[in-house]
Amino acid sequence: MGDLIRMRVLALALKDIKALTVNKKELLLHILLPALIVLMVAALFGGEPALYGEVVLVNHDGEGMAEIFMERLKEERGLKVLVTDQNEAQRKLMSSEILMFTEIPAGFTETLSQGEPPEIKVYRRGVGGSSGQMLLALLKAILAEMSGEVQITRLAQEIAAEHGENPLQDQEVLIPFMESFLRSARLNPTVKVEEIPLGRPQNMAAFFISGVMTLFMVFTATFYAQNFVEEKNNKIMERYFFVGLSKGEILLGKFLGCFFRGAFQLVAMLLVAVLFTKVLSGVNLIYILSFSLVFIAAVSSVGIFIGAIFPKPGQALWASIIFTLINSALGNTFAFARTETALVNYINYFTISYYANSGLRGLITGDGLLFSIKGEVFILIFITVLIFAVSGAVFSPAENS
Amino acid sequence: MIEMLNVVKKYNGLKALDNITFSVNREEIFGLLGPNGAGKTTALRIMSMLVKPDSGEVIINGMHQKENNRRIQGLLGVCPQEIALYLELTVRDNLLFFGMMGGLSRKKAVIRAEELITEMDLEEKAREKVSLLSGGMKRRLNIAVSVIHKPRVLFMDEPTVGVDPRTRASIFSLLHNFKNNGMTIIYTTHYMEEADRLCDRVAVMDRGRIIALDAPKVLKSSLDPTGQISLEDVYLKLTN
Repeated sequence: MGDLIRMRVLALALKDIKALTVNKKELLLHILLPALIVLMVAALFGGEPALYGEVVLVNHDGEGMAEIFMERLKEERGLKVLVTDQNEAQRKLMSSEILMFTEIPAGFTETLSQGEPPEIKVYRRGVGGSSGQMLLALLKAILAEMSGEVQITRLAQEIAAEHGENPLQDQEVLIPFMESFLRSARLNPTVKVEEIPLGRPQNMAAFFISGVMTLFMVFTATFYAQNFVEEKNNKIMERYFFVGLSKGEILLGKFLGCFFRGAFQLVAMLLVAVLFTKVLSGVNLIYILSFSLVFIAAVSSVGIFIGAIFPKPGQALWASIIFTLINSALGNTFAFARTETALVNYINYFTISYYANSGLRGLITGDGLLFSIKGEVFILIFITVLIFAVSGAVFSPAENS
Repeated sequence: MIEMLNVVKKYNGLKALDNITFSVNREEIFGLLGPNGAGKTTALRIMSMLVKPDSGEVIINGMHQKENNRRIQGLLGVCPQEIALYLELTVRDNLLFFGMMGGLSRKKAVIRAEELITEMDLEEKAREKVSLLSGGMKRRLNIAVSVIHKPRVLFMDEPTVGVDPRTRASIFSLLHNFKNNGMTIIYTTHYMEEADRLCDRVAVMDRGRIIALDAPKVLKSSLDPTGQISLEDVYLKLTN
């Protein structure tokens, strides 16, 4: 008897997969489209670590100090230095491709070498954006550091010239000594900032890929509700009943059908993410797959619930669209609230996507262990069981009974 | 085979079935006739256990419906008015799927599907998607799926609505075959000529009650001993 039930439930679920594979429109909507969107995100963000800025430089000086300035900028981690000409930089700024660029004027090296305040020009749209303001502070700090070094060296040279017995000989010794001293000072700054990496680097691809995956998993599962109601309306559910399936078997079969569809879609999305981004790989991928399956189970139960309570396919479709919209607009799917105390942060707790996004991002950019997101796993399992049980209570294979 | 005893069903306070009692004999084609809203479909859905009555008893094959729900369920088959099939799957896949749902092993489901494909004259279309079949072929397949698990009782809710005369004739032929193979058929229809030709007995319903029940021939002769009257005339007279 148990084998028969298992066979029928499985046959019911697999029928839905077969129906999906022979229906080109559904295949396009549920499998190819999500995979393409993931591919698009990969193409846009490439899985590279997030840059905190790109500095566009126009070098009219071309002398030693300008070169040192550029080298120092390049040493900054995560900062991309792009050297271009004035016209190109202005064109990019005017077309908003960039929000600011920096001009190193002619005579920059000469001015700095003479111990005078160095001058650079910053062209920007507005304040140059938040990253522009950070870049400006960085440019000033590097220039101040270079200026300070030049001034200390000049001071030492002056002292040697005034008090030394043999100024030229002293300078030959003094200059390498000062250079060595300043290098050492840079390596051992007076203010020490220890950088402690926790988890993997945050990156845009990880953020958007988890959002896209969540969105499509919610959409596919709840969209299935329409199919569920259509089967109720055209009496296919009644057929199940008459060939001896119990209400529980019908629901479980449909739940698994929905789950398999979601899993099928997930594999397509993950495959693209693995092939085209650097954010998903190795053991981490197994955890991401496992966690996503838990999430698919939760949204499948929501899909079944929508299918069980609505009598008309159109109503089920609207319910699934609204549910998908809420879960993509909220739940940190594509955007975070700026402040922790924002009302939206509290509302997020009532969205299913919040737990999916939190878990997925925890796996992608956190320590990558399933154990570390056990809270999210527990909540999603709880939601699955609860909503499935409620669906069982309200579902009837025959309409109007 | 089926007994309905003092069955009452109300929807929003209105009596859809008002204390009806009748029985259907084994291997009989039994017609339920009546205008829209007479209670035919409600009676059919209560007999087929899709709807629970407010009061009264339904006994099928000697078993009380309330106590033997699961056992009775396996004896019944329903052919709805709607085409309750997976349009994107092939004829054979639909039969195989519902056969396996009915508890047949894959091997047995394949054998049964082939039997029905032949019986329904669908051999040439077995590999076609249902969406590509003609209306008549869909109707035949709809019936085939309803009997895939070899039910003892088949409920048919207006299965000939919108079908051409040829398809209708082939459906009648199928139903006679089913009857000859021991099946009991309960049939609702608006077409009096159809009921006259097909049914062994008919029950005429109006406003939730059975106002006449007998063989078409007997009903006709009761109103016109010469037998010149049609069943439609009897129906119109009885339902005003």
